[in-house]
Amino acid sequence: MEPLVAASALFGVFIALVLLRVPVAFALALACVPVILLTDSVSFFAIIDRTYNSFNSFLLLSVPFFLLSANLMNATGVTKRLVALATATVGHFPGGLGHINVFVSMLFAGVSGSSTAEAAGIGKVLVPAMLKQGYDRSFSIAITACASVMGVIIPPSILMLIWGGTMSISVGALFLAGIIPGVALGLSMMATVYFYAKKYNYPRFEKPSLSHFIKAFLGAAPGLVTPVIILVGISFGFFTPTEASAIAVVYSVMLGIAYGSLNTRTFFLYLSDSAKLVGITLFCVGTASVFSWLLAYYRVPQALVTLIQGFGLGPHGVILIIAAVFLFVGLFIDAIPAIIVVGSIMYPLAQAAGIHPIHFSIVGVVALAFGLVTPPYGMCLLIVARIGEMQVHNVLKDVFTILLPMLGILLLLCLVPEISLFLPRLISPQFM
Amino acid sequence: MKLIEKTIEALHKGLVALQAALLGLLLLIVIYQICARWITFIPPALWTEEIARFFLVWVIFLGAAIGVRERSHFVLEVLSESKSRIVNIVWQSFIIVMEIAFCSIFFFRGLSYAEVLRWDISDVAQISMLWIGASVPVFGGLSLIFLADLIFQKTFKKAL
Repeated sequence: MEPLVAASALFGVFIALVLLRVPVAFALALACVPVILLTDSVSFFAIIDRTYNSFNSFLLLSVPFFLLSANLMNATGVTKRLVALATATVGHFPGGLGHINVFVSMLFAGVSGSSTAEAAGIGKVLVPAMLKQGYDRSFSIAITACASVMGVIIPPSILMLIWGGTMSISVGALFLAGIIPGVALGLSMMATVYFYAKKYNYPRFEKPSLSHFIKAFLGAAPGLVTPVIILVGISFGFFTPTEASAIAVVYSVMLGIAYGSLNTRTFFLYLSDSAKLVGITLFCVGTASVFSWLLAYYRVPQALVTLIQGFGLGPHGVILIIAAVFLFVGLFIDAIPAIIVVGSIMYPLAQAAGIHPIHFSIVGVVALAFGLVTPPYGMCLLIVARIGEMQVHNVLKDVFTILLPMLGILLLLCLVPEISLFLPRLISPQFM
Repeated sequence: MKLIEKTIEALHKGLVALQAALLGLLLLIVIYQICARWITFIPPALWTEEIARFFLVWVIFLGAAIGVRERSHFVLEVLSESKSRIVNIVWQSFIIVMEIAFCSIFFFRGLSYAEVLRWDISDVAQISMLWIGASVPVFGGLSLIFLADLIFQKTFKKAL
């Protein structure tokens, strides 16, 4: 079978099944069935074997732990303390709660690795608060959802863990590389909030006294230590990314006990919720592995590399194509299977064009993160819209307004590799 | 019929508890691994990483089966439902048939896969890989039971 025929069959059946509402994880494996039936040397055993072996990974273990840690941070009141610190820091800017929303998302991104946990945790606190202060409902939902994408860009990040594990790229270096793009995205959103605040005359908080700021900072400081433990621990080789995620859980439990907000029942409740989410999320990883393995079997990535090389594009052109592909794919499928299916196809293309693996990865993660707020598969947008009790299509205008400058940051990221490569080269050159 | 329904509900609840317990155990194993590296009086164990991976395989397969029961697997809702009841019934049936096909592959081929793994011994903990490979047909079997219950609920229960 020719690579083009195999790719058309795989993607054609997959898209048809997904559109017909067959679960994504199942559609990925079922799309392989016709191709397997037409291939003498491959049997259904491949579906089982590739799925099973993809789960048998120590790195993947970090996903349940980071999800659990993020859920516990929400449950134990760390989020509320971060909101208090954000209020004391940026609340006095025009459109105070909008800035608080973005700033607290940046802080929470540092203590969790999950955007969906961030959207749910912060959304429950800040969307009602913004509505109470007279902010437009659509804007409140849009800014909360867009800010939550930083959860997978500012380290730690579940997507970077999966990315690093799938393509054998240093997770420590990816974490460091995500810091500047994450902060840049946050600042771009704060600029957008400023323009909204000026246009609609949104309120601001009183400028806090120094003692008030110090009090808020001390209250949030234990939570803010989490990213320091994780980044220092991984970058300096004290523990692996998976162990770092387990430490994040232990630390969240300790904070919960210290704050008196966590008991055995709540812990088990969150343990069970996280376990369920892990089951359905990582199951996609398994079936996506079958899909990407078949694409590799039929040399589809190589065919794509040859095709795009034929256009004579330089590294800039190729990275822009890669970003566009990830943006497009992120519209339709979850980021984790997208990394495994599309990331594995694009990686040889990036290598052939001489793009640094870290640069390629960060562009991919940021582009896929945008998919979290773009329908039809905008998980964070769906979560926050549900909290704000509004139909998703009514929020889209504000979402795209906020996303526009963020796309500008993505463009910059594509064209200036140093934005993502500077910190890892400075702090952990051994991983480069 | 009531007894079957209650049994399936109990099975679901038991699976949820088992899966959460496995994740809790997994956490303890990884914490032990870290402590053993940095605290001298805790004996280091080579098996921790391997057993943690095996537990993860079970957590995922059990979680996937629970997802079938709770209808929580990720679905793309681009096409809106038809106004015709018949079209919707056909559509729903198609989705369930696809799920049954998928779970059948995992159950029947998974049985053969587990049989192959029976003779394989894990590198460090030296346990039969059947203990881990069994998760594949278990997922398939449990999901088929849950889908059968779903079909019963959607067809006969409504008619009764």
